[in-house]
Amino acid sequence: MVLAVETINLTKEFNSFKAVDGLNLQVPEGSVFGFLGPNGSGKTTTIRMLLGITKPTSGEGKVLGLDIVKDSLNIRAKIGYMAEVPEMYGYMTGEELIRFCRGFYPSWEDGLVKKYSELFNLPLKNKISSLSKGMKSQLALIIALAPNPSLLILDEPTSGLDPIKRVQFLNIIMKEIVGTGKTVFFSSHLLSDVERVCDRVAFIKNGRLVKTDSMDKLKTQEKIIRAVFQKEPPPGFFEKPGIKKVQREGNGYLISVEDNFEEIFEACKKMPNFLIEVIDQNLEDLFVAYVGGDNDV
Amino acid sequence: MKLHFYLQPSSGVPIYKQIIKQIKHAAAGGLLSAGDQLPSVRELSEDLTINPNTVSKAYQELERDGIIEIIHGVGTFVSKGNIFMEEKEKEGLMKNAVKQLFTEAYHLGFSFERLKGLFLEAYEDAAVKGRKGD
Amino acid sequence: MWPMWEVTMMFSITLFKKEVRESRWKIIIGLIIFIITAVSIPFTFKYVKELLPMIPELPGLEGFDRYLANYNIYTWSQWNGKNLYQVGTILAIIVGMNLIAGEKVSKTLEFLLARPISRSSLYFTKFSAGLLSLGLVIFGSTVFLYILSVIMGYELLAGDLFISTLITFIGFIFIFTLTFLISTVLDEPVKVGLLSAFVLLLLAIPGWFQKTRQLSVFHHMSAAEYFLEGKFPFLPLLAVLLLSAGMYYVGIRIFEKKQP
Repeated sequence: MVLAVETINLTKEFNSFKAVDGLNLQVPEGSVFGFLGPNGSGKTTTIRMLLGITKPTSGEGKVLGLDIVKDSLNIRAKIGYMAEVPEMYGYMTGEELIRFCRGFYPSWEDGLVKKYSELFNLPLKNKISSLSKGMKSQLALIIALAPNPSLLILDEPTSGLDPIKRVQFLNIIMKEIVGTGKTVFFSSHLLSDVERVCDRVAFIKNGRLVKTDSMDKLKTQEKIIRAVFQKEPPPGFFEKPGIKKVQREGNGYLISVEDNFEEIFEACKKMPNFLIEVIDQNLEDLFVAYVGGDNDV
Repeated sequence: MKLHFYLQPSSGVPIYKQIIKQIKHAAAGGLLSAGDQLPSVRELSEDLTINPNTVSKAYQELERDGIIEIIHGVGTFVSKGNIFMEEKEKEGLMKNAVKQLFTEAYHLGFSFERLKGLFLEAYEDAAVKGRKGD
Repeated sequence: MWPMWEVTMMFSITLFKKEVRESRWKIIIGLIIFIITAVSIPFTFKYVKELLPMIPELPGLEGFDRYLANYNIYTWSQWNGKNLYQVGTILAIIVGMNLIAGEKVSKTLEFLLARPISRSSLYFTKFSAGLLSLGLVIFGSTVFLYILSVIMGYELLAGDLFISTLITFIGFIFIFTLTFLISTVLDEPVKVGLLSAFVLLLLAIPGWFQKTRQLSVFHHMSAAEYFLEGKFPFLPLLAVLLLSAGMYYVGIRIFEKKQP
């Protein structure tokens, strides 16, 4: 598996606060990777390190095979990036900003700019300060796509868009980037978007990676089994690989499974029981389970 | 014909499985007939705003199961020859439904007799509607 | 050894254009002010020369008549010795204060840093753009002054005028670099301007006393030594340039670590 992004023990400290703490990420080429976590969990800091905007305190990282410290200039030339709130020079018109950015990239394609601005129907002659938030995002996306990047890094790309614009935005990314075998790495807290388009996700909390897996595997393996057994299961019954947590519920159990689901489910069914049922977990349930609650409110 | 897909991205079922299930049911139920063309990976992913990789994965699995045929450069078609759902698969689906019924009944504290009454009542209803429908 | 990319990208034309565009009003207004000041010199020379002997000795004006000896020396006293360095100092602060802090306050720094340009070239390009804007105003208006004087029939020594202006400009490099450094540290242009002005005020204090005025950058900037005594102040100018280079180096170090 070729990796578009890889980090090894990537760490960033501000004074003594660890914004990112020993992060190990692997983003396969050609995937749509969702980078999920509550606000302040280190998503933006991680992305800034990948781009070389912020230097890591320790650990290392590679983007498209290039070192994030030594080769950040090349990385920035080869990827498209859109910040969470794309603040651009408000006094310029869209056209002027495009011309300004064009001068930085050896691989800039005017044809792509034309194609997307027509698609978005963006008024490029207007001053950026007069554009709506959605239009600004679209302009930022055009600029991110124009150098024809093989990796697109988006920080909360859809949070400022209305539902219609969001669908349009995601469709373009799916069609133009994923459809051509390129990689998308995006952070988001809009889980419904992530659930639609991502094939891999990582959950991050307090700068640490809590879980990373393919979306399909999460949805087929991450489940809760509710069971009421006729008699107490033998000691050690719950000590199976893949069982994450066991809670009592009245005279039954709630068994949280993260892997090895079929085997565990079969084992439960074999025990004489009054009730066995499977509770599916969607991304929101998983998000709350992995990164929700306690100390980060 | 254009098949209408109902996706629930936020359910606990992977999206590619939802697509597989809908195409299988449509093919088995006669909504799709042999030779019908399915939307391309690109079209479907754009229609549903989902990852094209997900659509590809579903199509590949359907092709492996002989439900569809992907002819490169031409399109994706429902396989020639009748598609029957295998008996075992049918039984599996039914079993699940019945099981769910009993789980629900258990939670609500229904006795077996009471459940049986409801069961027969529903069966009568469905049978009447079925005759009218013919 | 720097990688090739780094060397070829030391200077970004597209960024340079943007910076010049952002400071274009400063350049235009600066030019207008300087041209008005320049115009006043040939026009006032005659009147001042005729008027001065009529007024009784005023305290503070002793020795002023020596500046009226000829047009050449009068021009120097009004231009390098007064207007150019006073207004130019303010202009150097105004041109320098926005360069980095302005990006921070408009929240565009992240957008800029995400472009494929190294921090050192970014810093260098902004520095050159500011300095060139400043140079354009200073030398542009000096050229105007020269042409106007010649047209009006005055004899003006071009060599003396431009060497004096160069000396004054080296002082502006110092003021501009100081402001640029503060612009890298503080995040608000107005605060940058005020702090820079305050630091310069402190640096001006030695210039008020005969004993210490060698230590003041403003003393050297007026080019008095060169113009009145004919000595080119190599050592003081070298010291000013070295100090500026030091501030530039510190600034780039701080900028390398700057968070958007």
